Amino acid sequence: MAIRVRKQVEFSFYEKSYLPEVARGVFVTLSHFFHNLFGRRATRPLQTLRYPYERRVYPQRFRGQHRLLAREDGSPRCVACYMCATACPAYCIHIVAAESPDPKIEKYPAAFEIDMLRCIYCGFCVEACPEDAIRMDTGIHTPAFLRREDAVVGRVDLMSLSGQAGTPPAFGAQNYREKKPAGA
Amino acid sequence: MPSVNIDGTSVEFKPGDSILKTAKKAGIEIPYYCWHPRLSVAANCRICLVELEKSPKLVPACQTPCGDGMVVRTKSDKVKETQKAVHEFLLINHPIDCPICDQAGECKLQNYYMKLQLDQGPMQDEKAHKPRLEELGPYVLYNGERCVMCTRCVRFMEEIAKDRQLGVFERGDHVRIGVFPNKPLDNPYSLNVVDVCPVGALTSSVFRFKQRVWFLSRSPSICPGCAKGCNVKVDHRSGIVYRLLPRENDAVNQSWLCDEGRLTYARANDGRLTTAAMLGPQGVDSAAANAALDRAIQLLKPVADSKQGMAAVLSLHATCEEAYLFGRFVKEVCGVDEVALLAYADGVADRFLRQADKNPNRAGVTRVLCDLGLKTTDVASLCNKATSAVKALLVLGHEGAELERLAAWAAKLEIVVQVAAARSPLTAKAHVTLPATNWVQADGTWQNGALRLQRLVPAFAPQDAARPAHEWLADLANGLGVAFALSSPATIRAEIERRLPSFAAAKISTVPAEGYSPAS
Amino acid sequence: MFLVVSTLIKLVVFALVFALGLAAILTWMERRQSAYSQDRLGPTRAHFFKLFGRPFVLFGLLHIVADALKMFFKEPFIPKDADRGIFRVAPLIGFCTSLVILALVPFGPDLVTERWGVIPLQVARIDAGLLLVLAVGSLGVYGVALAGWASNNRFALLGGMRASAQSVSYEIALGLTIVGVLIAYGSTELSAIVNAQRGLVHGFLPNWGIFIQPFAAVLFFVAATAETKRAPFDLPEGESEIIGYFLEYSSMGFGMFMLGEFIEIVVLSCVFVTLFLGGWQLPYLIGDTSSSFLFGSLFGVNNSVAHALDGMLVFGIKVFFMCAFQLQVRWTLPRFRYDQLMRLGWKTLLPLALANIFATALLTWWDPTLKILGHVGVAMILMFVLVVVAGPRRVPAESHGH
Repeated sequence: MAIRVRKQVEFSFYEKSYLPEVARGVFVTLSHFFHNLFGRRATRPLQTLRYPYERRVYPQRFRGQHRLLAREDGSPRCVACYMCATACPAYCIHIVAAESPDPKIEKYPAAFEIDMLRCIYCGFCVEACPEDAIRMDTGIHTPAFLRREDAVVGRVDLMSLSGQAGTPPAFGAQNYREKKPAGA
Repeated sequence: MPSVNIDGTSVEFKPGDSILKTAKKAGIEIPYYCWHPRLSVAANCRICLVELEKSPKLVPACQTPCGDGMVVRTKSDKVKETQKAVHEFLLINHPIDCPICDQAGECKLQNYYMKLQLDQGPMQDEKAHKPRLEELGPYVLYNGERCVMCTRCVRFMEEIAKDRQLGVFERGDHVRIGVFPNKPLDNPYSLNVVDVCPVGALTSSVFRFKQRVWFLSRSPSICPGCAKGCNVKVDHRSGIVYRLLPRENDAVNQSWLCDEGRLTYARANDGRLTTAAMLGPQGVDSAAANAALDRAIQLLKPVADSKQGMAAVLSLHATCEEAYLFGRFVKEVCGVDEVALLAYADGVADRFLRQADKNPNRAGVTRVLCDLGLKTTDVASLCNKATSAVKALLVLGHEGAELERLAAWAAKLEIVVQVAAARSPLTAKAHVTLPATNWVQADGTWQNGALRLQRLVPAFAPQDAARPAHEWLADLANGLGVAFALSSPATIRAEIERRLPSFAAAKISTVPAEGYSPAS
Repeated sequence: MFLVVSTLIKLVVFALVFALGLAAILTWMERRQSAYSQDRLGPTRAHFFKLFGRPFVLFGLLHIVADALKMFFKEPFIPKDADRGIFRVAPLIGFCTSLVILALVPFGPDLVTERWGVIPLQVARIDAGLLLVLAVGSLGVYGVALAGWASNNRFALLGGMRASAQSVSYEIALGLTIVGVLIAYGSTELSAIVNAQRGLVHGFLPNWGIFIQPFAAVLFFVAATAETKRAPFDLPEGESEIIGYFLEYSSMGFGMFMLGEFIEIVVLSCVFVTLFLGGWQLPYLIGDTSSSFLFGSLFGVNNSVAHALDGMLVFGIKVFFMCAFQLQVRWTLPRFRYDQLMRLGWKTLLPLALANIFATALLTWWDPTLKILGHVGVAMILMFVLVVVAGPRRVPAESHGH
């Protein structure tokens, strides 16, 4: 840590007399007061929302509760490659890989659990996923839990969630599959 | 000594050595797939091509012997270009599905791809399709699409296992590794082909999908499967052992390990005890470690006072240190003059690695006990004894074939105290069970059938109430009024060296990482 | 008998309804005003029911009720080693002295009735009113000092000590600044001072203390703020350092201190309005005995009662804005350091107040009609405005951030 020597500020007589600066200060706070009192909501400095009754519109890329995506046949798109678990800085993703019943697919997640209490919503899992199987586009907050066990959300629950309204259903995923060599 | 010039540095070589081997010794990296230090040279992967002065073409470094005054370039543009081209060629039919491949993380193909190629390649056509999940044998699965046809596995079976169960079949795009009809890959060394496979073509059905390899921690250890004492690497995560891999040791197992030994990894996890237990009116129930220890001391007190009526059983998996402390405990505290050895029955042996004696430390334990002046017997003859003369039983260890019988015999006894790392039939009969560490967690020394001393290194810390067995024994002795000033394996080793004639020259306290055979 | 009844009615209307009501509203205003000045929302949570799916919070006004309920139902805790008697009485002292001062303030013009004669809208018309204001005002610090002492807590004691030292220091300046006003208006009776401020100087400038004695007004405001222990002079409270003299108080004991503080704001405003802002008067609109203001023009009623009501309304509005201004000053300025406080009191305010006395005396001796005093006052105000608007500004030093 660098040590920064702060120079002693020399005040002029005018500043030492204090009153003009006080008047200016009062003017500053008063201008904020009146702006906030009479200004338009969109432009006034005061932007606080009364949260449960007023809500901000989240942007499309808001990272909310995770969900797992399914293939067309309803099986999870996840191939249990552990890329998300590897990328996860909070170690909140727990996967148990198993031989897939589909001979074309090597493995699938027999268990896929996210510990929501550990998750820091960084979105690394979404970036790491090579199959676009996990997304955080549900637009919802993770609900509150009463028990610790409830905070661990499993594969079935993760797959039951749908994306935020207006999000394309399979953004980019199809293209990615098509570019891959057939049979791969 | 003759020398060869590799990338501008002059490197001395042993006549007959290949360029690859010489470069490797000098720390110059030349990529290779098909070459293996313990297999014959095939030179079919072509990734090790290097530039040789005065040679019109590039030469495979693995096959070309060094000549005095040779000038070799391994990093020139021509070599790099060729390596990239060869890699492209190797990947023509490879699906590049690293995320779902079990080899990812320890795959030469993956590493060299990142180093040498890093692009898609110009290949436009559809890749060749091959069997993707073929069971070659009970433990080995084959994925033809990921195979680069280096034939290391074929050569291993032929040259090391001496059992030609694998072969290269078909030609061109259809080429594949396979077994002969109705002849599965069931050689007892079959899992070594998974190790030698540089890519994800051959995978172990035992380890498959269990863990991604980059999550695993690795520590050196010894295989507990037989008296050979093969050196192994223990791959573990969060206190669970996932696999054993051979650790190179020219004097013991070179780079190989038998399937039976590999599968002993499960013993480190199965039924591991982490809490002490006591037999109460409602049966065996877990107890606080201190309470269990106090109870054991209280139970053994009359025996220790009268110095008779005690039977002692020691597992042959115990380390020399544990055996020494156990011997001193039963002799000095309990007045025992004979220790029964809990052992696995003899099994199959061959001329390569597998030994008939399936206990890793018979030599060490018997020599320690013998030097302490204790007689040894087996569990069978102990169980033949009438229980009337025996009041108490102290058992260290849980590994052995005769546990059922011992448990049945122990059920008739008044006092049974067990120090064990895992649950066994005896646990249900023992009045007190103290949780100890297993061989993966232990710090100790084993002596294999050839009297080679090898050191066990703890891979991870004991969980919960589990403690090394020597600590339990020292605490028991302390509670019974005999103070052993032996707090760590190192102090025990020092005392063994001082007091036991068999180990006086053996220098048990300075066993190197690769172990050593005492001169005697 | 009539005197007692009318006095009681005046006391209830002015002291209990007006002053206490305003103080209660000030507790809300302080939060809401500070919030808006700092780009926050302030209290918006307390509600009894929901209207159209949103809680009915009434701009947060219900927080006054919530606070009062909370204060009443909390445990009145007294520390084990506290002096119990004094501990209980202390909050009342400050509270009562403030109310006593209010009795001396005229809150409207005299009511002339046929039946009962002239009724002064002032609880107590005492010739030495202004002196009594100073005398009683200085008693208020006893409440604080005793609270700090009786709590048997070193931090509370420190708060009490600071309060007494501060009070002693600023009382001198406070008294001396008022001397200027006394010289100009020639009376210590507050309604006389208000009456003396009637009329215009030069035909347009109200004959108010703020124009005649601008310097004294500023000094008085500063000194009186220090007397009321409000920021930037809230060292006796100093919640970041010593928590303050009321550290051990809970429940209504603390409530009394808090309400007392707001009452003091109202009292200070009342006194300031009386001395410097013409009291209940409004030039151009409210005349001697009749008014052309609200009731006069709008309702066509122009008798003594309407005149009195107009005066009370004007007085109330002036007091309200003075209170709001005090709150704004509080949320603008940081707290002084103790040595700065003492230096300001003794080395700045005291000499300046003395200088003001001499200047005022000189100018009043020269021109008893106060015209020259008015000239000088307006010139000072204009110069101050000029300095504020066009004076040099320090360029903020480049911040390095974290």
